[in-house]
Amino acid sequence: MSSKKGVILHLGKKRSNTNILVVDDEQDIVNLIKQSLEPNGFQAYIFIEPSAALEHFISHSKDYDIVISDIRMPGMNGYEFIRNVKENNPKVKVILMTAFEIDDKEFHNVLSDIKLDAFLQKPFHIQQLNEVIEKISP
Amino acid sequence: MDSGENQTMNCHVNDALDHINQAEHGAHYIIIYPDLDTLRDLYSNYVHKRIEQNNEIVLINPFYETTDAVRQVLSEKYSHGMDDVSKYEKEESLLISDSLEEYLGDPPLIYVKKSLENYTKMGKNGVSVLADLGAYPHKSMYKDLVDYEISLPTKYDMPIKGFCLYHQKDFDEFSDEQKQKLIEHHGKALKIIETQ
Repeated sequence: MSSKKGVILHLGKKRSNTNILVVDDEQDIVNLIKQSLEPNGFQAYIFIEPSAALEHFISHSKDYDIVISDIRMPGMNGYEFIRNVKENNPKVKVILMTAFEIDDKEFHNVLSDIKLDAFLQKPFHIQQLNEVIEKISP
Repeated sequence: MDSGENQTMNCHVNDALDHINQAEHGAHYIIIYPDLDTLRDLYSNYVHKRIEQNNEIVLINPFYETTDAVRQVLSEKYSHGMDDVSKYEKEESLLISDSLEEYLGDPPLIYVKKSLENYTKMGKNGVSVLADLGAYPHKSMYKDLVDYEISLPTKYDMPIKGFCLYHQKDFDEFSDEQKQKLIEHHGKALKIIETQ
């Protein structure tokens, strides 16, 4: 096996083992994220309801490597969602995304003790998303 | 405790549109919507008719979408698209501001006050406000929202129509007692049913 081939195999294995949970209240957004991640070998599981996403995550918390969440969502906001996610699996990497300006005060009040691995300002390019995932992917 | 949901009118988006189009000045309604697409359908049709035919100022306060997203949705209703939206915004017959800033900003209610101060000077008949109050649930300020709503009259004594918009998932988070208070305190309670 050539080293070049080995690297490719290694990357393929690494990526196919990276499971990503995505939650955003807009179906078009989660669909787009799934469509952009899966050709690169990532497994994306998408939700439009944070409560359903959290319920699923609690049952499968050890299976996930990365969680991507919108901030403004009805029923449960992204901060609360991420806090619950981290309580169930402190090792999971978390990314927040929003189309709005971040309220620094609110952000620090709510997530002061939680390490955010990345932040995406909407609208973002597919390439930007993939770069962020590559960077924090285990 | 009755949650007041038997006092709400379940309706499809077109029926809800009829209700708000027929609302008279002073109306203060609560509208519970199932998803953002339904809300967009409601406000885009309402705004189009109000501004072009009824000579009113319309204020929209979105929460689950940006003000630019609202402009985009509205532009699809006009023959000149975004140019028409810009024109209405420039002449201030259309005001679009984020709900978080409008209701929980410092100072609050900037655009509501501005439109009420200006409608006569502008020769308009009145003001319609479509406010998504999701900013309060976002900050877990459920009691504050109930208190705020109760501080407002069930029917306004001025030429304003207030349509308080609640996402169903946010509304579900209130206690039964709070839901009942919210519904009883509005002149009409409309719950838009999801269309498959």
